[in-house]
Amino acid sequence: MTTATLAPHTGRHETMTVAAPFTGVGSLVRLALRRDRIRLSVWIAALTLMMVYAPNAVKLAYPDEAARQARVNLLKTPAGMILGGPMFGVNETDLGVMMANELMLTLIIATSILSILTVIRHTRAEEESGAAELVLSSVVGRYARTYAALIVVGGVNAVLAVTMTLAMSASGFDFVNTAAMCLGITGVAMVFGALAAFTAQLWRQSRAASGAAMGVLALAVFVRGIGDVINNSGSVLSWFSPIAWAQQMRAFVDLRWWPFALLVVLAVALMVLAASLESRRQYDDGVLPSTGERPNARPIRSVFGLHVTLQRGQTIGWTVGLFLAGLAFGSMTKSLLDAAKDNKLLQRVLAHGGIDSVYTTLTQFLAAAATAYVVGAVLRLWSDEQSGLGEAVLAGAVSRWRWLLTAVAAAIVGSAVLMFFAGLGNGLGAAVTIGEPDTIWRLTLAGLAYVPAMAVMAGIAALAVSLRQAWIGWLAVTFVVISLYLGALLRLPQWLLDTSPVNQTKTPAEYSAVALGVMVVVAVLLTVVAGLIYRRRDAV
Amino acid sequence: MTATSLQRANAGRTSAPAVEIHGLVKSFGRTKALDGLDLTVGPGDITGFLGPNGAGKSTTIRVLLGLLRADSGTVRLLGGDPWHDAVALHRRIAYVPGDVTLWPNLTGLQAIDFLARLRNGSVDTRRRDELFERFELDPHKKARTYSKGNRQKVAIVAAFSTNAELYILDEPTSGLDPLMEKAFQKCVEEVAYRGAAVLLSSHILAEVEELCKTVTIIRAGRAVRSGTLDQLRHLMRTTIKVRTHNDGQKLRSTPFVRDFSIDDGHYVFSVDRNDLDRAMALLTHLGIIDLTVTPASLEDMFLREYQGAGR
Repeated sequence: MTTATLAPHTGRHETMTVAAPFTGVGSLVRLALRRDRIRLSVWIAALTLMMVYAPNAVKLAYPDEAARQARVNLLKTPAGMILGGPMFGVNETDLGVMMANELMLTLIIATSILSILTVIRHTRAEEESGAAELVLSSVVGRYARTYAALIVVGGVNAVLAVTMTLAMSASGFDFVNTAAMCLGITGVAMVFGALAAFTAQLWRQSRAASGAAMGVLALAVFVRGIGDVINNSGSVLSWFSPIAWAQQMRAFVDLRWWPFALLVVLAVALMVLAASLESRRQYDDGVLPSTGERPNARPIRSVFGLHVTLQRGQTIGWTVGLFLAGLAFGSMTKSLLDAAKDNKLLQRVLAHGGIDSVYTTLTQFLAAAATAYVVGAVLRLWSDEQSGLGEAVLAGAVSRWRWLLTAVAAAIVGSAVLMFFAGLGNGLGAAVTIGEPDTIWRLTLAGLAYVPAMAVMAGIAALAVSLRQAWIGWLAVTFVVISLYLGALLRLPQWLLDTSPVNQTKTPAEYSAVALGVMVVVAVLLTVVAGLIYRRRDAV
Repeated sequence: MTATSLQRANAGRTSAPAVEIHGLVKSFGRTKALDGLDLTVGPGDITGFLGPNGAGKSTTIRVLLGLLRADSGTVRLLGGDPWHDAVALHRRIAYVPGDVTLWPNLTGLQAIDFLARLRNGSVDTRRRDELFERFELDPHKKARTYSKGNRQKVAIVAAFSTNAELYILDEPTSGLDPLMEKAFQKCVEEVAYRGAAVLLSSHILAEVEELCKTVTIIRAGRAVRSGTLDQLRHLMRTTIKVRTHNDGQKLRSTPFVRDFSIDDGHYVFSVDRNDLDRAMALLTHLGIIDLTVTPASLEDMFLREYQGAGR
């Protein structure tokens, strides 16, 4: 130690107490950016490219007034309202209005998921893995990690707001309205980033924290959707969802800025709440107490049993979520039929495919969500391998085949449970509102018919595990979701859309034994190839 | 442990070495983790497996477990191929990793029962409960509430409640307190008594000295010493500290004298045991005033073998 550092000894304690909560934030931000440089770059690039591509795709997809009007009419149906945004009845065929209506929700969900994952990754996940212990033992303030995570997410969202605005306005859209739309999107993402900082204080497990934040996001999507079905330009219910606040900025329609202030206030309030909770809890502890003692825990008798047990929480959460979503979707059938009375396009659609084509679309949406569960369940093998949990099992009398196949099987069984309850919810909702009890079992069966598609996704995830490239699995999920939600809008070629296993299943409108059979074969092939590769590679 | 299970363990044993490795090579990209390693664990032997950090001990163990595939060389585990016959062989072995990861939301009991069941299909509950008592482990807590030492105990109980023919232990006592270390040593002695072989990777020399008959020391992916502890002791040089009437500077240039130095009028050097006679003759010739002869401790040997380990 030199004399220079010894000299200011008297004043040292004071400066430390002042700067303490923030000490080390700069270094932590740099560390986070260094760790996430590829991850964040890919997200930012993908979302920006979306804004470059989408406007031109929309222009091409709906070249004239008639085509646009048809699209707008379709979106005015309840399902359209839930999957898009509010309609304000002004200039509805204007390209800017259409962009705001159709793309905002998707982009809000994507950026919010990015924010949630990033915040949890740098806060609770680090505490759970123990990496934060090393960090906190050095010159770092107690709350510096949360601040740093929020600063990183804020920076990412700021960059996104700029790049997306530039990308979209470069296609000829009005700059101020574009900026408002993009700020609204990233503003909601910031709210959910702050929410994740809050949930990270509540639970000890990062999965619970991110799951809770994602659950609130799903709820917000849902509340906004139902609220806008009640009143297409936004009802009182809509305003309970922060997503509505961004959409109620009414970019391209009648721009107003004050809803954005609500987003800022909520985000800041959540951050303050998170900070105050963090100051009251200890390291590696949750505000909500977690139970450690379980004297009556049931024994796990097999590898398959282990997979099922580890997956149980996720399965229950997803099942409840999809059942409720199915119930809501199903119950909209009535209002859809009512809407068809004065919607010519809808009449034509119903005349052509019948009510079953609507059920098919709704079931496909539920199935697309379930693919995330399936892929996540299989990819757990990869994270277990990295954490050393796989070693414990493979050092037992368990072959690689069995370890991989039971994981795939457990994921498929789980997805069958999910789709059963999703279909049941859908059927119940529809049956109650339109009074046809038959619908219950028909839609439940339709839900179960998506299990072969789930098996294909599980096979892809197994391949991702065997190749050590987890991103392949998530890319497949992204593809399935995008091809379903935005496939037509983005004018993706039909052959590409046809490769999505969820698009290939068209129940209850059409039960194609060939399609289902082919998917089963593909799933088996993918899993076998994955197993062959997995068996030949090093397993740690 | 019941008499029947003891017999079962003995009946399954062959006279082949429990572990037999020749010229094992394993690379990760450009890094050669193992570079022609030889290692043998005889039937019923407790073999110490030592080496500095990064020498390749854990890599060797993972090859033995069939988790990693050998690039070249021959590896036999209980007479089988650890890569191809992994499942059948794992029924006959037990493994304790040095860094135990457990499923955070399962209790210790669930994890132990599951891991034991994976090997044998059944759990010897009496033996298991006895081990809980011996290691003072509360098995009903969820694994995320366990400290490192307690997680280690879970792995140890899971391993020693099985009736394996070979125990592969990778720094098994890291994080255990001295009392628990004693309990662990008792476990090893018990399984060795009934004839199981043990491969013990460890940095705790006292533990190795206490338990092991043979040791293998590896450095930079190669075995640099292996044999029984007695043989190794014999290989060691003896340190001689001596004061003589006549000038002893010529000791410095004597070929069998190593590490020569002068300390406070004493000549200090070391010689191989085989050269002790010659050294004594030379010293007698110089006229001894006083003399101290110290046989090297195992610790000296380990330190000597560990040195220069930086790759």
